[in-house]
Amino acid sequence: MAKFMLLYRDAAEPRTQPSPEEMQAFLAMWGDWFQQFGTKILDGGDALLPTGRVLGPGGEVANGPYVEAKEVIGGYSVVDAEHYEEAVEIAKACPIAKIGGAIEIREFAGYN
Amino acid sequence: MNDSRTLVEHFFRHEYGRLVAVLTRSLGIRNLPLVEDVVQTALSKAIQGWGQNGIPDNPAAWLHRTARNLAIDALRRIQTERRLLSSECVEPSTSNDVLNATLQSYEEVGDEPLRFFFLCCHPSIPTESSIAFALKTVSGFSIDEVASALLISTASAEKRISRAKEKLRELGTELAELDTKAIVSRIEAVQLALYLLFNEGYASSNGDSSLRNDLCNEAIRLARMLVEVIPCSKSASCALLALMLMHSARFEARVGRDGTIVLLEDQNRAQWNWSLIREAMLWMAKSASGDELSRYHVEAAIAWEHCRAASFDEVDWKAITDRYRILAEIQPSPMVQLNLAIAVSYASSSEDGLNLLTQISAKDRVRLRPWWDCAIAEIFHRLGRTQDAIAHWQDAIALATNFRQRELIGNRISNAKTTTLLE
Repeated sequence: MAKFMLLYRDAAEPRTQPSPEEMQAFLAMWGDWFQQFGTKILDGGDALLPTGRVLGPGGEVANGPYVEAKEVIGGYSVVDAEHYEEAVEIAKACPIAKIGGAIEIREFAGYN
Repeated sequence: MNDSRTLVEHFFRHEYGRLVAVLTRSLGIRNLPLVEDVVQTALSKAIQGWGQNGIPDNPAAWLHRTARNLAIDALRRIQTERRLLSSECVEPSTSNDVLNATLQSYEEVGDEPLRFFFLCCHPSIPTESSIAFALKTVSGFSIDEVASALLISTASAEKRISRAKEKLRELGTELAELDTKAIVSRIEAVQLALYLLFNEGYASSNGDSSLRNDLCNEAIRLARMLVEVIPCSKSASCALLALMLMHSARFEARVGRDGTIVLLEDQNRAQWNWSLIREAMLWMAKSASGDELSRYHVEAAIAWEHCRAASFDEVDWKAITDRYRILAEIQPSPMVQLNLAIAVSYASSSEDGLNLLTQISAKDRVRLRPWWDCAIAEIFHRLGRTQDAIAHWQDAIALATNFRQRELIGNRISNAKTTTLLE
């Protein structure tokens, strides 16, 4: 078994605001995801606020996540999978993927 | 971690409406744009947090607290900006202490959504604008959802909503100021708006059917609040609620498996929702108190005649005819004339019904299209005048507004042709 981190990359430009009904449908999709993969999801994770600081190599501090980037990391979850293929399958069923967000899937090195 | 806790249907929509009403009551109608923003943000925060970490114990209280804090932050920001821009005193009503005191806690929230609906039904706002605006604010529909539910363009939905908003701002009436006198004077307008809202959802077979059912359910939800919260509206409001429940009991039975329209005479009555009909009976009984006789009383009584018949052949058309005659007196309209003619065609004779139909003026016939054409075609068909029937059905097809209507009328024509051939 290996641990994978799913990094949710949202478009930097927000999509049109969803209606309350669409929000509820989105929430239900998370519920379905947890139900489908149960113990495979080690940590539901969290969302990240759109604010941020970037500490440059020379010690300079800039406001916000990388502003040049087209996508910003909007959240993460941690899942348990045999290999990348399985982790990708879990990510595919995740609500972020279903609403058209990109997900970066990275395996933990396991040093910890 | 996530758990199995789930939210009731339309939770976000209803909480949106409740929060908008509660915050507007505290912060005033002039702050409505700010209120709508913070409520939307509170909802966004909720789905971000709840999706990955589970729904909190009391989701409504969580939303309320979040929206309230966001509102306080937003107002503080505005105050600071103002202070920086000028040396003017800050409006006393928005100072932090007062703000904290006026913002109700979750437990204090009562009938605000209904009050907001009363506010929307101000006499100087056109009803179509009131309805679109109420759907957006009280019912938590997005502008796109308002547009598809009312079968209008997004641009006209926006126009209707902003017209109501502007008017309300102009009038400056506050939710908290809405007193008993104002409420009593607006009850009829509110009833009419709910009736029209329900009809919007019920009458058309066009568009997104789940959204249109939602319109009916919203009308029922608000009518329930109306009878529960405002006792002086009792009699007619109870009748209105009963009427809506009886119609919505037939929702599923009136659509075939393939989406076709199923006429009343062909509906499977076992498929009607009898628990809704039973509830409607209770409201009917309550509506009988007092001596008021509203159009809703009469229309509910007509719907009841259909509900209580074991089959279409057992419908008491005499009773229905009598009721349409009363309705024609208290609420005359071409549609009532048409329905009366149809009832008479069953209660007395096809010829009598035909007579009444042809008495409807040419101008009214135009307004009743394609229903007038369909009604007269059915009567000709029953009289054995198949050619006349087909001619009118063909007119009706040309005037029908959507595919399902054309399909239904097309089927009537081919059935009539087959029957004639067999004879």
